[in-house]
Amino acid sequence: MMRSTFTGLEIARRALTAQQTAITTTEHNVANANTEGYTRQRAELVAARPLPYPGLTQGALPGQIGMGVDVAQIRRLRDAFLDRQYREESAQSSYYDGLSKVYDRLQAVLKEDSDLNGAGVLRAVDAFWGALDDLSLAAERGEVREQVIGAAESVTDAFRHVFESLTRISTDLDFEIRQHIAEVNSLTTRIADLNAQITQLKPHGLTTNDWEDTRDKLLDDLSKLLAISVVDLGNGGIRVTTASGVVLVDGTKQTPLEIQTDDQGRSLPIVNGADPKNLGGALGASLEARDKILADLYNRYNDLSLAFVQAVNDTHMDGVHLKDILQGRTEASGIPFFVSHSWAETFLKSDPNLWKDLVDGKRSWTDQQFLVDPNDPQKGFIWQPKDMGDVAVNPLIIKDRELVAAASVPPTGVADGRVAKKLAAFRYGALPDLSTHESFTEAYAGVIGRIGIDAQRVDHLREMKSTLVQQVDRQREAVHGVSLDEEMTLLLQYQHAYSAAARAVTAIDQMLDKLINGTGLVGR
Amino acid sequence: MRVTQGMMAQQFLANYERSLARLDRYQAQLATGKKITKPSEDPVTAVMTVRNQAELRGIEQFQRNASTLLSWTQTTDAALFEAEDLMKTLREKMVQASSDTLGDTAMKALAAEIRQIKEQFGAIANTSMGGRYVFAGTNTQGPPYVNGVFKETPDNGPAVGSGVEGANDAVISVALKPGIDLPLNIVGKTLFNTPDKDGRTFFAFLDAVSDQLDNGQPVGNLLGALDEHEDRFLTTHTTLGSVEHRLELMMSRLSSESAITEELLSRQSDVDIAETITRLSMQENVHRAALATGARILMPTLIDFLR
Repeated sequence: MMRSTFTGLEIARRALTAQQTAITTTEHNVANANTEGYTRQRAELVAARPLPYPGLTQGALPGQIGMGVDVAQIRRLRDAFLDRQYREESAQSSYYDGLSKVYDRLQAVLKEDSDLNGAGVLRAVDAFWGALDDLSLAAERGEVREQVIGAAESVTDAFRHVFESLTRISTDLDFEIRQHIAEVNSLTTRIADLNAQITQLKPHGLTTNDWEDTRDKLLDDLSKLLAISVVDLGNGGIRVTTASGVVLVDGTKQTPLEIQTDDQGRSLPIVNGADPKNLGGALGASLEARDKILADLYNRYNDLSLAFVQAVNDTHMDGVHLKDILQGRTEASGIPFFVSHSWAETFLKSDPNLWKDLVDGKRSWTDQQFLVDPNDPQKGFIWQPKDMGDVAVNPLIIKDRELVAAASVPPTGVADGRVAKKLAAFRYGALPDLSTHESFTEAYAGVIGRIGIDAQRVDHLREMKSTLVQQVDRQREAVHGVSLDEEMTLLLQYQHAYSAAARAVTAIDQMLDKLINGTGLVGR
Repeated sequence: MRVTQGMMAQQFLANYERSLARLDRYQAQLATGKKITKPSEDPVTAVMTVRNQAELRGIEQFQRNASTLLSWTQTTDAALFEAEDLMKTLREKMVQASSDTLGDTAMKALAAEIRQIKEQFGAIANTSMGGRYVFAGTNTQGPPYVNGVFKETPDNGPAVGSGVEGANDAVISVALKPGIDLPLNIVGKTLFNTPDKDGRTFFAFLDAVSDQLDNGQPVGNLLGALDEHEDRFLTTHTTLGSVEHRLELMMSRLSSESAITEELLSRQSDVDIAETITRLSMQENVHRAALATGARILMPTLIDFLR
């Protein structure tokens, strides 16, 4: 049998480098024990290619001679399946998380307790009915009239508070959407860049573990913003698509989400000129919250407040105010109690004469010229409030409290409060303009109940999904997390192997010393 | 399953947060005294609370209405008692003046007394409460009794101009529950201006009595008319009494309704303090245990034992 004199040294050297690599890898793991998204690595040791030993004549000898150890690769210990599961759940979890946050804000707006910063709409409306009840018993008293006007102003303030709060939440959501889109684009750009780097190196058999970790972390982050699915392209690159199949990253090519502003000033995400749909994740939640939940609540509120305004105005316009009574007029005064805030603002300044005519009763509020559309009287009058943020107490009434029409037609006297009583009875009566035929209280409680139930459902799902995410993350952590004890054990193991290999070097060194210095002295 | 330090730390943190959230909720419940802080915690309770709060505000308003009505009826009641007393005096004087034996001077003196009584009735007709004339119908701003007559507003319609004298026959109705109304005022016009069998209103009747005495005639022939007028006052007073009676019933009903609603509201939304404190201290124990366990499991690693 023939072999090189230094074979042993070579094997020991390989052992030393291999154990050293293993030790460095372990150190790398320990160093990154707390790095988020880090995947533990293992130096995969394999027996080096053995030297074939042709045993032509000596069948008893082994056919191969072991040539020591080699580091085959430094492997990332990661489970791609768990990653996929994690990303699916995390998209849903952050979706419900986003919705839940919006519901929390909405519930704060709806709160009836004034000390909790709620609008207290119902409280204000109830106080208004109460003031009208008082007016019905003392219609000629100025201070009671003032109270009615004050209570009405509280109602319009509450309406405006809700309107402004909802608008603010909507604006905040819009900002959030833009922010999310920017984040998505930044993440997909970086993923595409990493794809480029990885695909350059991977085919050459080079290790790209830490880059892949970074990419996986970016994908995790991306999955919080929107639901994604990831396909391995085989060359180290990946393709990222949204749930509805829109490609965001294809290898090294990134397609950005663009922002389009619609006619209502809302920002919408657009990919290649089309709506990407069903985005899920935090972005999907913001979109859903702004375009569905908030819009729905806004509409319900709007319908309710405008029905309230309509009911009060219709009844009030049939009433007779104190001024008319004192002047001996017996027909309805026809003055609306609530008007459009924006209309009053512009109109007061632009046409003082018309105002005077309205005050003096020379011109009717239901005059043709006030129609929004003269061809379609159904559309109502220009002085009618357009939405709940636009409701104001008629400035005429604020200026002259005697214009509150408490009396019925024909009025019996200054203390006639029949119309005020009729108005106060709306506390329990259905608002005619409400399709559900409910009173204000019932409808308002309905709005609160609806929000509460929806919010409860979302909270429930959020809880469930976040538990799921935690579970999957735990499973993932079980696979790729660094266990210090384990690393310490390995470190010892490798260290011992290293020491042993070093000892082997010494042994061979001694052998060679013997051979070189201790032999061949015959005849010296 | 492989367990790492990272997992344990994560798990510990998750449990810790959950435990802290529970503590926070009990804390908030105890601090506010309310079971729920937002509708989503219990939508049914939230809606019931909102409705009952509104209900309570409604009841409060009806109670206010009732107390307004109470002060009106009390004022009217007092005025009518006074009127009845006065009526007795009037009857005495008239009975006295029915005798043929009275001399002229005595008759004249009685006539003067009757005129005084008339003015006193006038003052009763002008009874006001906080500047509002209670017998004036809805024309509450002007006195109905002026210049010796109980004045009516033209056509029973509105008085023209503010503070104008005269009464109309309108009744202001007070809502004490949806659909249940009681009259706020007694119609003074009916009380004072209904003609008797001789076609005279009450004040005209009083004028007739004093005029007749001035002319030296006894007034025995007018005693029948007096009966009529007195009857009307008594009937009106009885009607008012029945209103007062109904009002009392309604007030006690409203106050018991208010108590029931308030109790319901409290049961729905108020925290059971004993129960919550018990839960809080239980949760506190759990929290302590969690912290203690955390401190133990997070501390040791293999390194501590390698020397």
